[in-house]
Amino acid sequence: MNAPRPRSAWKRFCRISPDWVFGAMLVLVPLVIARDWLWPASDGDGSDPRTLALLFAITLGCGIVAAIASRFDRRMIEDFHYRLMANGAIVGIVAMMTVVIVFDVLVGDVDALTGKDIILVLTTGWAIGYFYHRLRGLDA
Amino acid sequence: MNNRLRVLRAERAWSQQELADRLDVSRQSVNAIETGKYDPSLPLAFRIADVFGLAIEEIFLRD
Repeated sequence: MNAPRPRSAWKRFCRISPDWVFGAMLVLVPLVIARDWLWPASDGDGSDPRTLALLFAITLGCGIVAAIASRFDRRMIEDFHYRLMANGAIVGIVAMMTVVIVFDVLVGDVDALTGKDIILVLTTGWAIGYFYHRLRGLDA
Repeated sequence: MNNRLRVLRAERAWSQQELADRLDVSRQSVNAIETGKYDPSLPLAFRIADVFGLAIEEIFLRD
């Protein structure tokens, strides 16, 4: 039996499990979105609770449907292309978050970005990520 | 991870498309494995081993 491989310095010092990161995202992001509803501002200028409830319901429903659909994709599409798509999706999400931050820093008005702009950035980032890994390899 | 896929395919005079057909994958997948751009999943590695009649460790080698 082989001796256990020594853990890399990164793995040794980075104790944050992805479960904690994604668990925090699952709890904190909806709380931030719903803050106006949970803690109404004194001027009453907050998001409509019904709109927030609808947003949560659609997100929950679409998330579950997308998870089931991805399982179908994984079975139907060959592994290489599925992994290209998955890696590309990670690039798209990170690119989208980065673009929003950079846009906010440069322009100072993140509210100027519309939902369509966000989808455009996400889709373009996904395609860039797909072709980057397609050309450079999945380990690149 | 390195592999001997190109050599084994050449020994049998198979094209990438022929091997892809035998493995039921696309030619792009075979090319990506041969060029080291993609390490196949375990089920696909077993299929490759079956097609060549070899053990997985005779095809895929550690870096």
